[in-house]
Amino acid sequence: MIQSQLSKSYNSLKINNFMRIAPLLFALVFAQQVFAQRGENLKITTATANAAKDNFAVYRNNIVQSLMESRDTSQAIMFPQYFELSKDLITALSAQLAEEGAGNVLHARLGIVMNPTTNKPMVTLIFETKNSNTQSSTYFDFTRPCPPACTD
Amino acid sequence: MKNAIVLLSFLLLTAYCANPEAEVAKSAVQDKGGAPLPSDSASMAFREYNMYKQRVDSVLSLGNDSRDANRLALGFKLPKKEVAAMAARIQATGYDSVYAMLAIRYDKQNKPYMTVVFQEFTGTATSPGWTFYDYSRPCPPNCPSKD
Repeated sequence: MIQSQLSKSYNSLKINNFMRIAPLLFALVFAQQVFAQRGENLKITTATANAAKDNFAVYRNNIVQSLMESRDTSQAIMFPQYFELSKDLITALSAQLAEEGAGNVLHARLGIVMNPTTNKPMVTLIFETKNSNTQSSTYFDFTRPCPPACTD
Repeated sequence: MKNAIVLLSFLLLTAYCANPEAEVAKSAVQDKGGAPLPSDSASMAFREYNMYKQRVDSVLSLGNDSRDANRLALGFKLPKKEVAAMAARIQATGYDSVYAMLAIRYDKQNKPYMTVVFQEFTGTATSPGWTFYDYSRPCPPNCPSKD
């Protein structure tokens, strides 16, 4: 008799507990789904990425060829295919954007700088963050154009 | 016990909903990798590139590749939340870098546009793999002056 009552109480306690934590569990699962889907719609397939890369490769070759044909060899700067962005850069950019007054966007702007090794101009990618509180911009340029900084 | 379960659920929920921007900001490194570029140098680099772009557009317009003129972007606008998400992903992996790949894609009207695709390492040493993201908005028309 006592055992039966204890069992009933125990079951009742389990149900009560479940009812209490059910909304929390539901919220947890929902949050997990939202978190997992962040950026998912911006993913592109490898095939799409490769096609887009090839399109640009053709285009950059056309640019250089056209400039060479126009006898403008001094301006015939070859675009890199990639820029390698270090973990430090990404972390610093993200920290900058998390600051108060930072806008909701980051600008990645193309620029031309002198390559200190070859002493020739090269295309680079400069990141610009703007702070509306201080009305100032901060620029980051420590991308490594590839080639030559390709890993494969 | 009951309180412990509720507390544990709350902590798990908080961890899942944590804003990656804040997490990354906490662990931000302002060391050698985070040194900003002087604005004069940046302005000069932009000016040089703008002149180069004008020259390229002019040469392409006059030649047989006139369709290719005005395709070069000045830059790209990247949403803050996507940069934060990328930072969180790169923190979570052991990989040291991300690649920004210059690319040309086609819009719904089949018109080509220049973009930048971010290539992140998502594989393992034994099974290398990459994931590609395109969340940039090319400038023009999305130039900083239009903010």
